[in-house]
Amino acid sequence: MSEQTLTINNLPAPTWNWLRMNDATVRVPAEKLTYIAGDEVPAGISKAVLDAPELREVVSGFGPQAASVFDEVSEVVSYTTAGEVTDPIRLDYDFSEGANSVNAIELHAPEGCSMLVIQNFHSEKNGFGFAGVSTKYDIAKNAKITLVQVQTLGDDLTFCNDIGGRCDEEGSFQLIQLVLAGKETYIGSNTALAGKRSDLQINMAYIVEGNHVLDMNYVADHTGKKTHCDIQAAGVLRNEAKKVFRGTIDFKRGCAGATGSEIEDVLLMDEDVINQTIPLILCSEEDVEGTHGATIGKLNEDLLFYLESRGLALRDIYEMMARARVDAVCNLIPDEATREWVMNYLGKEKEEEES
Amino acid sequence: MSKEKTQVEDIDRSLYDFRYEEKDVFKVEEGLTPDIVRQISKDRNDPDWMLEFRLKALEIYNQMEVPEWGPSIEGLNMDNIVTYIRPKAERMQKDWNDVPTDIKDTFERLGIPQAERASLAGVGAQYDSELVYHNVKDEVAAQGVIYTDVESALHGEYADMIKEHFMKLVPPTDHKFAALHGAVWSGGSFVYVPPGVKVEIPLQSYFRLNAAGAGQFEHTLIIVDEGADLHFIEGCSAPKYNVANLHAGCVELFVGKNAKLRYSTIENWSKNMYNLNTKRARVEEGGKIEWVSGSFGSHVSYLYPMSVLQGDNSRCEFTGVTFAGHGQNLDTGTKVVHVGKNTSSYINTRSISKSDGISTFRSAVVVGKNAKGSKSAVSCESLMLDDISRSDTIPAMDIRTDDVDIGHEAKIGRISDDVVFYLMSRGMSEEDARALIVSGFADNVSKELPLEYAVEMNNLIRLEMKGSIG
Repeated sequence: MSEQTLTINNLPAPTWNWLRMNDATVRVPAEKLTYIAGDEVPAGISKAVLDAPELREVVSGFGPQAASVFDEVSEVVSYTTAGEVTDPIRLDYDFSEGANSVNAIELHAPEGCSMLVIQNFHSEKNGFGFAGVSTKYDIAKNAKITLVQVQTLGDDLTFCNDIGGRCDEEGSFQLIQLVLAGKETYIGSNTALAGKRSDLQINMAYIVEGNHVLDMNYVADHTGKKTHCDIQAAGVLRNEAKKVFRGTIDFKRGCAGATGSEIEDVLLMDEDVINQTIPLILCSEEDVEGTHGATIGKLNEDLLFYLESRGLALRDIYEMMARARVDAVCNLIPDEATREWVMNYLGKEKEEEES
Repeated sequence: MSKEKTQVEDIDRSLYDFRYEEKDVFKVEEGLTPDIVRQISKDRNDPDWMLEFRLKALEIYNQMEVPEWGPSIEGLNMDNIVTYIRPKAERMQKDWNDVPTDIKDTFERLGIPQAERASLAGVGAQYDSELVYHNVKDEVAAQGVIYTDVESALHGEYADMIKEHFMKLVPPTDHKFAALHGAVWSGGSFVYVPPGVKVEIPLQSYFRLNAAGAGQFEHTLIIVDEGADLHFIEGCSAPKYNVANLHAGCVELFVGKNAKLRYSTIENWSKNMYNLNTKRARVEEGGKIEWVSGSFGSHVSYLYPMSVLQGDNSRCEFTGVTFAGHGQNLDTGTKVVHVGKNTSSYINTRSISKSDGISTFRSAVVVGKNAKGSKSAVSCESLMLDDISRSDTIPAMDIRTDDVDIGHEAKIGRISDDVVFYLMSRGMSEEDARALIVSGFADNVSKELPLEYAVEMNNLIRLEMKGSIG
């Protein structure tokens, strides 16, 4: 079988083809090994290895062709919480070997239970190859999953990160993402807010530099009454980096009382960057409130003037503001060790740049 | 307390929904063939290059696909559309008394001659495929302003100017219905405003499609030369039939250096109309294009006026309102391409959906690599009046340089019960309270229109809201 070219991250409502924002195409190698992440599983969490996924039918952000990426996964690792577990499940993905690999996990939060999952995707700076990770979740009544993803991948590695799940009544899903390095990164996330008062919170920050590409597709699918979503993305583009942000709040008929908000804040630091942003609100229910906003560009001139008048160099101001975007999301991570890991990584990066 | 729902009746379109029998008309067969295109070209007395252009456009039309991203146009069968129909009577007149009685009566009922007398510098009136009346006030003509039909201009002093500009901004390759327009266009207006001339009161073209199962393909070409200033108003309507009608007009606007053009449209086609219209402006250094757009009619609309900010410091403002009622799927918005340095765009839209109507706001802001110092602000708000309608917002931003300031905000929601309650406590009926709120919601457009047109727009909203009771 030859390499496949797949269409993923489809916009739920397409627009003009000439904009080339309706979807992303990704080249996926023909043969992929199943990758099993190293894990630390706290008390209160049960782990099982499945021959076939239980949440196969759950829609993910990549869309219908996601199956072609992950069909070869031979073992799906499933984690289920049995209570309100605050200690994190730590999943370590070291893609330094360069092998083409795919991984799939499932997260189950039964009624009233909660779990914190931290996925650390990393490789050597010169890491290469293809890696795909599928994360599916099922959140029952009054349950909560917090998923933290930190990505520091190599300069020649293509990474496909597909997420999909469902929230039942008053269920809550929180996604905290930091994308700090990786040649080509594709992120898809679809959350079905099916239960009444279910909730989605996404906070993501990114730094994309060199000739790297980040392509995102976040979908909040509101079918339950009084559901809520809040999608916030902030990031920095440098050099010849390209980024696509697709964010969709889909208020389906029957989701009366639902509210949704999405915001993207992009700092452009070099003249050769490419930024594409398309925040959608689809609405077939009257009794909803939805907002989206985006700010894209350089730093505000008044702010620059103020900081320069305080003796800061222009370059330092930009670095400080870029770092602030990442720090704001990093500080949301409910795990000190992970926060320190990120800060150490950013510190090393800065040292390397300065040397 | 349970929430009370708004019941909205269908629009009363008696003002627009009248018709006359077709009599003494020349028309081509239904469908689209090279022979039909040749017939149209012959009847329009085209120069040779235009016939070649039409036939090439037809080839392109046959090769292109129907857009797959917008509202369905499955109900439109080109084999059933008559692309050219005109009265056999004497062609374009400069005196309303010389216009055939039923056609004159049509425009009287629409208030066009009255508006011409009261508040316009010139009027063009198109009936089906034929421009039946065209006149410009003497004092405006004395300034050197040319306002005539495109066909006349093709054979007169401005023939080279037409050839140089015709479908250069919107080439037939742009999309399938631009190609269709290139093949079968007829009628429309040509306006040329010489350098430095400021036309103090607006010009207006009004397009009326009377024939069932027909298409209207008028071409509007406006050139506002350096430092000149013009306000052009476009109106359109049609009676309702049980068969599909098609409007695939094309508007090309050339705004010169430091010139300004305001292009206002109140679109009120009948609800059997497929409105697949293309409008585009190119703005030179320091120039400004202002679009004011009200979309109320049509069964299906694809309408996205586009501004190409070619020159440094050129500007664009787009102000729009879309009201989608029963059986309507109105896909509207705008596109802006920033090419020159320090260009700016401001987009402000409102959309309203009711009685199973579908309203989609679609936009694109594209900032090219050389458009340093550019700014853009987009604001769109949508109002849902019931839970059987739909409202979507699809704004795209493609930014290819760092020295920009781009902002976007959008909001969707319903009429606040508290505001309705407040107005009712001051003695208003619920219907009036809701109509007032919706009119206020759309005042971004009405306050940009001349008074008479703002009144017409508010009347349209009031008609749409008639029967809105809790």
